[in-house]
Formats: sequence, C-alpha cells, structure tokens
Amino acid sequence: MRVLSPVGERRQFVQKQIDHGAQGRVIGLVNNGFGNEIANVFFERLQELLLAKPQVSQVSIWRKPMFTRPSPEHLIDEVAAASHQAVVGLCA
Amino acid sequence: MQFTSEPVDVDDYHAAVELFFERGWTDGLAIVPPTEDLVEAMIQASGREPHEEIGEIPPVQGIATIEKLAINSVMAGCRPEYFPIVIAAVEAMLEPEHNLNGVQTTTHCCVPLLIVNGPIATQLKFNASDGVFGNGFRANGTVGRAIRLILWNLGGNVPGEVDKSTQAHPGKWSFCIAEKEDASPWPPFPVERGIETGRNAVTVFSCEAPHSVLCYGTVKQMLASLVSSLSTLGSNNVQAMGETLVVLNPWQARQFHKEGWSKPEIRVYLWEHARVRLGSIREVDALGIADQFWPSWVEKENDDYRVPITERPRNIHIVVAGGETYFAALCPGWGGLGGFAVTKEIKPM
Repeated sequence: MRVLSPVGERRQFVQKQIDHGAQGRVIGLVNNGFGNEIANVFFERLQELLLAKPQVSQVSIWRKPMFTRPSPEHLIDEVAAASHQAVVGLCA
Repeated sequence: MQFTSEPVDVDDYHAAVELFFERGWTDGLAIVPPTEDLVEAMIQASGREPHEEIGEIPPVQGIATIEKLAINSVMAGCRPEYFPIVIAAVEAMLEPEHNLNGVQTTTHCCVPLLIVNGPIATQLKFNASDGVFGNGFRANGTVGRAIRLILWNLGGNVPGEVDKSTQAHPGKWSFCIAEKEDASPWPPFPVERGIETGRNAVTVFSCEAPHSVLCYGTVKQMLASLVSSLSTLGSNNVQAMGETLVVLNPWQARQFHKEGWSKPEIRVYLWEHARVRLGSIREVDALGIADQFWPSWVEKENDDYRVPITERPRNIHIVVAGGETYFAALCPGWGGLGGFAVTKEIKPM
C-alpha cells in the first residue's frame, strides 16, 4: 500500500549572518505581547542591559499594533532598516 | 494524476495507521490511509488542480495546495463530495480578519467553528438538529476533523508547541455544525452576510465550546436568560469585545418570530442589555487589555458606565440549530483579538 505525506512544504526564511564581535551595534526590540505596564518595564530593563554592553550603541523598542496579529510589513521594514539585529519577544 | 507529496510504502492498513502516529501526522486518532486513488478521487470532486495553492497555514506556513488539503480530508474520512466545503473553509480561515496566526497560537481556547448553509447541508446529511454540536454524523464529524488535520499538519498546531491554548476544548477534534434553515423563520445566516439566497456557504468563527443556556418561556424570559449568560466577567467578549455567537433552537426562533422579533432586533436588544459595569471589568482586568479594545465612545473614566459585549450589534451572530427543547447555546469569541466570522460561498463542483 502506498500512502502520501500530509505534511506540506514550508516557506523558507533567509537566515542572516550575525557578526557578534562588531562594534556600534544597533539593536531593535519588538514587543510581541500585551501592551501593558509590566511589559514596558521588562523591555526598558532589557534595553538598559543591552546598552551596558560595549558593542551596543543604540537599542530601540517597537510594539506591534495588535499583539495577536503578525507584524505588518511596514513595521518589519522599519525595524530592519533601523537595526543591525532585532529581537522579537514578549513578557507575559 | 501526478502528486508531489512524499510517497511512503507500507505493508497494510494497520502499518499505515501506525506510521502516521509515529511521524506525528495525526491528531491522536487513527486515520484513513491517504492512498493515491482516494486522494485523486477527492481532488477530482473539487474540479481543482492538485498543485493549486490556497495559501499558507500559519504559524509554520505550510503551503496549502489542493493536494495537501485532499490528503488531510481523506485521512479525516471525508467523502469526495465534502471536499469543496473543506476548501471554502480554509479560504475563509485565511482571510486576514480571521487572524488564523493568532487563533493557532493563542493561550485562549478558541477553535474555528464551521457553520454550513445552503442545499448542500441537507444533500450531504449534515446534522443541524438534535445534538448539533455533538457526534453521530459523518459530514459534520469528518469535515470538522479535516480542518483540524490541516491546521495540525500544515499549520503545526500541536499542543505545547505552537498551540499555546491553556485548556483548549473538544472542538479541537472536530467543530462543525449546519444551520437548520428549513425550520428557521428568518433568512439563513450567510444571506445576512451578503451571500445570495439558495447558495451554499460555509462560515468560520473561532469561539469557545458551546455554553448551554436554559432559555424557555416567553420572549421576555428567554431574553433575560441570554442577557445574563452573555454578560459574565471572565468572558473575552466582556473584556475585549469582538464577536459572539448565539445558537437558538428552531422552537425558540419561532417564538421570537411569532412575537414579531427579527434577528436584527434581537441583536440590538442583546447589545443594549448584555452589558457589564466598567468598574467591575477594571477590577478583574489584571492584564490591562480592556482599554485597548474599547472604542472611543466608551466612557472610560466612568466606573458606572455599562460596557456592551461587542462594539456593535451586528457582531452578535445568531444561528438557528439544535433540537426543539428548552436550551440555547452561546459560543463566546476570542474578543477583539481575532477569529472573526468569515463566510465563503462553496464553489460548485
């Protein structure tokens, strides 16, 4: 008996190479969770910790317009244009 | 017919079932092995090409070709004539307002519910009567499960992995009803949503499991029960609005109709009366999300303001289904976060 796999091909994402030793890094943080005060405290503290590292020159924080929906293209483009590296995360 | 899916040779039926369990290709229940002849029959029933892409199923973005949808539909036990309903439901779920990415990954329990309307519901023997949310009917059971397997195999909706649903609900096995159009005094649900009368259509709405409401007696008594059940703290609708579903049984619908109530009038009544004091919502809103969903006309500084459960009356959906007894059912939605109802016409074969 021959059966067919139900699992599909997946969209392939391009992996960007990161030079961890480079100086003057600009980091983007994207808040992917509730836009509440706890999350603000968390991301601002993360910003402080990253800025204390010698390789990091700037850390900017963005918040998705709606935390349950994927980031809109314009936000992805904006973060990508402004940052060497971006981290998406949430504080629940 | 040429397939692009990976073929696997197995000794027999039992080996095929075990293979699907071993590879994580099924949801915890046995499947019908998707052999090439069964998949081909499914695709031919749709009149579509196997390589046609409907979209990508989030969040893992598995590409939903007609071939992949057919394989999962065979696994669920669908008959080929059910397949156009599965395709239309997938198209509906992928509309941006449904926010399938969020539905697949939320900690809330919402699950896409399918509501089938039109002559096809009777022709294919969908249950719209006694036990409508329950078991016993191949069409409801297998179409609903086909959607679940598609979300599982193409969308990666595995609990504890991308599916973060806290408790989920049994609709994760299968969640499909039909409207009892021939016993309803009102226009069918899709007609209210812009579909031509007499057409076949499927609506997807992500919602909680049905909550029973003892809803009997006079219209006034029935409305009082519905209002109270709709406006309870802890419901996502109360904190984050969105959409909600009221399922009235045909007897209840006729009582309303006899007293001159249309569906829009019931919606307005429920919207005006199913409200919760703003201060009470704030007291339990530990996540601080309610403000993000209240429209500007909500008096946010007034604790005594009565907040409606949806932004507008038309976000309270009313469908007629079930046995003719004392009960109605409510299926609260996910709130303003997504899972909104989308209706698609089922394209003829």
